[in-house]
Amino acid sequence: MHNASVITKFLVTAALILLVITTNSVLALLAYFALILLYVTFSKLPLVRILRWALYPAFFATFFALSQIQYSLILPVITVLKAVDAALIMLLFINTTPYPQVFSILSRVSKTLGNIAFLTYRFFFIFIEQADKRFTTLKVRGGLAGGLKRTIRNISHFIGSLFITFIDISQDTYYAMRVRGYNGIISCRPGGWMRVNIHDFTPVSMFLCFLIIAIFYWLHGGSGVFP
Amino acid sequence: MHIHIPDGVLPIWLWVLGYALAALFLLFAVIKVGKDTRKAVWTAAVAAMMLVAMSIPLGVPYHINLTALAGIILGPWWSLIACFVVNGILASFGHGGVTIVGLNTLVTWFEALAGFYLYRVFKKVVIKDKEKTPVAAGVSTWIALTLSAFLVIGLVAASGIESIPFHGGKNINLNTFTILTLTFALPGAVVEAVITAFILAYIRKVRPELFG
Repeated sequence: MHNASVITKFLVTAALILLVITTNSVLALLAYFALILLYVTFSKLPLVRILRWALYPAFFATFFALSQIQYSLILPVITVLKAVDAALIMLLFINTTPYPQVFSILSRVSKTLGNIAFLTYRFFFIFIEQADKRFTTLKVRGGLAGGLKRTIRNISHFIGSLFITFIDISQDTYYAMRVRGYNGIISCRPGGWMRVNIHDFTPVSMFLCFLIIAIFYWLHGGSGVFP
Repeated sequence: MHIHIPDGVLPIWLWVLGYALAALFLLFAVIKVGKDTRKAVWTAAVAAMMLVAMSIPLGVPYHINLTALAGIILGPWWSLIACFVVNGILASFGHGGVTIVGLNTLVTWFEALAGFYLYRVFKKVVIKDKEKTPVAAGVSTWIALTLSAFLVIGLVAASGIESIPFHGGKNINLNTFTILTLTFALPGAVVEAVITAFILAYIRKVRPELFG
């Protein structure tokens, strides 16, 4: 999956999500789920970590699924499965595609949007690391103890201090980029990764498997084979 | 708040409309902001801050957004770009549906816009004391987040999703959805308003030159 062209992966991802959102069968969605896990394993991605990330959308989907539980017990399961399947498809795409390539697609639409998305992604990991370090310091120094009022004040000061650190980091980054000739354009040269190649068979085969399940579901969905 | 509805639940016309409107406003925003490279880097930094805040799990189906704060800092057009980028990246991590990135961009931008304009009004008209600007930010954030919670409920109601038959029943109970949304969104708005006010108070104390 890693070596497939970004265009094929992008189109297949969009098609797979479309298939997931138009499917209303627990069995079909479970079959999709199993297939995605197979391709995640096949792509040598850390399965447990990917599944852990997919728990986050599942958690938020339960919020919505709870409002469906009065009418049907199947419907909330379908809602959660759709969220998990769509999230796993996106995670598979993102984790097998270098992010400059992902954002280069956006840059083709707008340079400003592409640049900001690219920089946001870069800053996110720098900030997460900073936030993690400072949060550990806050905890070790007892910043989360001593009552709700003190905790909220400490957390706010923690975010405030982070905020100032982030401003400094972004300004330093800006000056460093200017020195290196940044003029509002971060280019990502089109290379082999844009061209359709033999490795595209992997995402295409995934799409075909999904399509077979979807056709089977469309043909037999009403007959009870695919409840 | 933004919509945590998974893909495939909202009707196609609604999320396509969301994408179309978001694209239209984004096009206008990109033209409006021009080529201010410094502000672009600054917007990316604020967007990353929003991403960090939204990625912190609180144990309940709610998270801090910092969208109103982003609106106050960045202004209307840059905050729209930040909202789009944040929702796009979140969707790529599986947080929020891919199909509703457009709608989520509009909802979070609404928060940023409300935060920006309410803050200006409160700062200039209601609270004229410069020392109390964090209070203005807190109140603006609270109103912006409360309004956006109702906007989300309004969107779900407008989608007509309640009357879509499924397996002999209905798709969703709007009353339950409203109660659940408000149960988490209203206290969440208060907490975020307090946090925003404290953040601004802290920045005013440590780096007063940043916000004047």
